Amino acid sequence: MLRFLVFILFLVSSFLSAKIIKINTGNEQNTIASAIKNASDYDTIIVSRGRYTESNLIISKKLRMIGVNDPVIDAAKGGSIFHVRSSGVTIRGFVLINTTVSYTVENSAIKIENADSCRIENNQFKNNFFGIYLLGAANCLIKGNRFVSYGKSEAGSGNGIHLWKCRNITIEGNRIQGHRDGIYLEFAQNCLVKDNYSSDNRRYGMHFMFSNSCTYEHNTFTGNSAGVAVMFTRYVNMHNNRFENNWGTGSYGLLLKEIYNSTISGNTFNNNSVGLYSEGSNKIIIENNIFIKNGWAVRLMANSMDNVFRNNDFLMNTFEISTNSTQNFNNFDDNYWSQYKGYDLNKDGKGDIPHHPVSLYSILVEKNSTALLLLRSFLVEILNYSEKVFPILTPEKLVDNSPSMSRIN
Amino acid sequence: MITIENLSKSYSRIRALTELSYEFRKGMVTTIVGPNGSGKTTLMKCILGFLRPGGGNIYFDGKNIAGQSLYRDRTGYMAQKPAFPENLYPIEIIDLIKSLRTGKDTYDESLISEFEFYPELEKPFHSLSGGNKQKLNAIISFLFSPELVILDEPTAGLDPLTSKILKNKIKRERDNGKTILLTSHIIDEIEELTDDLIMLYEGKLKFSQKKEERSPDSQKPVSETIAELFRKAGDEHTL
Amino acid sequence: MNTLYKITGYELRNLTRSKWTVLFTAIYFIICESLFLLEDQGAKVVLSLFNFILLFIPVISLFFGITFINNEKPFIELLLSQPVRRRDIFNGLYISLSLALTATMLIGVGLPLAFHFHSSKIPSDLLLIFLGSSILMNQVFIGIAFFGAFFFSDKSKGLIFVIGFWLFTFILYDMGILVLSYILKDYPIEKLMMILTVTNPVDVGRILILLQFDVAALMGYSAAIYQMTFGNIFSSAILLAILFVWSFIPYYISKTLFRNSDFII
Repeated sequence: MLRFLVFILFLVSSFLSAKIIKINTGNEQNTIASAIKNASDYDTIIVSRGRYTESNLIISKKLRMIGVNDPVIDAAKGGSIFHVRSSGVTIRGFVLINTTVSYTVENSAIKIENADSCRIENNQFKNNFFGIYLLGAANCLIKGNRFVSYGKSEAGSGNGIHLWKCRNITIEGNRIQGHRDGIYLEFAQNCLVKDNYSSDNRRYGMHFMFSNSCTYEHNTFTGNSAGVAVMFTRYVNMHNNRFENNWGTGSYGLLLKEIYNSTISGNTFNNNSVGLYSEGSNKIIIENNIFIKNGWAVRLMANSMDNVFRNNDFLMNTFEISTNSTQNFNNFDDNYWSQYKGYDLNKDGKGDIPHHPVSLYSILVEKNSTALLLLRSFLVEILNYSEKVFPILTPEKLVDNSPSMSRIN
Repeated sequence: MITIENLSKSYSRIRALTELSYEFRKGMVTTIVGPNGSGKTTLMKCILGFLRPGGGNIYFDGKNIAGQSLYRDRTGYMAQKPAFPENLYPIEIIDLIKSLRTGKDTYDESLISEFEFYPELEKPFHSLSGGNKQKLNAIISFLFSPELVILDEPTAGLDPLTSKILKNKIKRERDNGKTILLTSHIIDEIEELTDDLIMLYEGKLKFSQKKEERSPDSQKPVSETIAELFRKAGDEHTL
Repeated sequence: MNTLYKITGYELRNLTRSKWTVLFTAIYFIICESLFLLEDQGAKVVLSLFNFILLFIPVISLFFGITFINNEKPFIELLLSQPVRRRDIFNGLYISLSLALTATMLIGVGLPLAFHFHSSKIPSDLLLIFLGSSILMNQVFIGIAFFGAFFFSDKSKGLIFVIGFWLFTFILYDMGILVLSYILKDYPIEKLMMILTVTNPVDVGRILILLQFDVAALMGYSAAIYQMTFGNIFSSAILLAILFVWSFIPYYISKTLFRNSDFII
């Protein structure tokens, strides 16, 4: 009991001792750098409105950095802006701009290195090389930030939020635009990516590798030049995201490469050249998704096995499924296919004849892309029809035996 | 009335008419005879302007018809096989043809009553019998009291009574000073109607005989003249 | 009284009384209305309708067209024996047939479309492109039917010609493109293929559909198409212009044939 009282007293005293340091542009001596230098753990540094040209601000104390009325920190002198090396740091309310492109150093607006329990909230990042860069961080929250960059090429731009060897990071409610990859995760474990909006990035809306047991949900990825890539990972949960408007050769709503034991549910794939592309991915459950108006709803490469597609809606896609194999080791059940031409005489809601979602023509196009020019031609209809009657080239076993007669989701 | 001068016409390789010259006289029925493919229809169609002559000239009332269409205001034509827009009524067809003619407001509708055609006027053309179709054809060709009437096998497909009415009409018009060109395969008809006679053979004018050249007292029927001509031409075609 | 106007008017009256035009209107109407019954998405109805029309219009325009003209030939002769310019006869026939067939389509398809327009949320630019290309496709094949009828004085030859044209533009041409694309597989042939494709009027109609419904797939194919489809409305306009040229050329040629040549039945 006494011990507890002493502990409480210590806690209260340490809070009482915490100072509030205010910074404004009026005083030449009064820089953010000097404020950080003079502060001690648990201090709060309040930076008010103004333009500060400072960079390489190393934070190795448990500080709260608060921007009031959107103070701008310009990294014109080079390097990163905040470089956090202590746990328990909060950075909130800043406008961080102009970290420069470098091909050797990842200049970032905020870099967090080997720290725990940091919070980066409600900042604005403009025209930066990297936005937020986390190395070996854990238990951090990145929330409500806005990123706008103007990278002209893939190589000349950095990622919006970049995680390397991190765990338990929550990335929530951010908007990222114009970076190389909007969100980048490599060797990140148990992370949650939620409610973000990642658009118009030079490469991927999100790029995700070797990051087991992560969840991302309710995000929107739109207009990124290559979509979203999830690779070399187990136990990923992808729920209720939107993958939209990724047009071009080699552009996918969602690219899966060597993904195992994961679930993809409740997502919408809308208006992509390829909605879902799967290569070497096994044991994935794909359910209750909507594939609408894609060029190819799903491209399933031969080395994808034991995946289950059920209760998905395939609506107005040019091709529903395409594959490069005549074999099939995946299951398709109870999906709704808008190209299904069957009937339901026993009125159980399921079509009475199976649906073959791979057309002969999709295989022709797979082998010779120029054939795409003949899409919807009479010739193609005839070819498809004759193949339906006598399947030779299409995978006979890739079939939905109980196609739904109406939309499910 | 119609003067033909060195008229030639050929279709790709076949020569249909070769250097034909003749004058069709006003107030006469000129019958054109000749075996099939001898150029009868070609000659008529040249006069009507459906065909462009390969050489020579055609004068209508002294005026060259090349490039003209207005002279057709003064012509009537009865084709061998009549055909009109299937779903129009004869009354509408007549109205259409009337509206294409310029400056006429009186019409010779005597054939309509003589043929007792009134009940047929408001039935779709495709529902008419073959004879009634041909009657409509005849009605239209005389409708505008044309100065020149060209009749291609006019009575083929008509019953004897109607033929008689039509033949009387032709004679009446001839007596009114109209110029009439006729082709026919029916001996009686030729016998009855012919004033001037010409024969075409392989596109050439083989023979012509004016009315007054036939001695009225010889009583030699026109048909016999024609039969002779055909034999002379060495053609096995019968009339 | 204007003779062109007269001939057009009476021929139009003739055509509208035909059981065929009534039948065509009914087919359009039934197909369109049943598509709306089966499908609640307006855009998908237009897609199915587009596919149907692409097949149906050429068949009607070619076969009904050439049969109509062949049947009219004796009457054309009678018209020729009247004081009428040939140009007026030709245009009268062309305009009346075009108007009649366009009307069958516009009434048959237009009534259900107008009725369901609001509830099915059909985008109006899609509707305009659909109607525009349907009308132009109709004109292309009417032109071909006129050409077949007046270039070949023999009726059966004319019919063989339109059957051949139909087979060629519908299947054989695309087969050729498919074979060529395999032969030249290893060369950069995108633009060549693109040009070859838009040379065929049926393919132009088809690409117009693709531009409305399959852009995502086309983008997955190549940059050349990307350039071509840069601005969907713009490329649709170009394709419609190609169809217009396609409809004008056979009209012009057959008109010239009609005016200058002998008229033999």
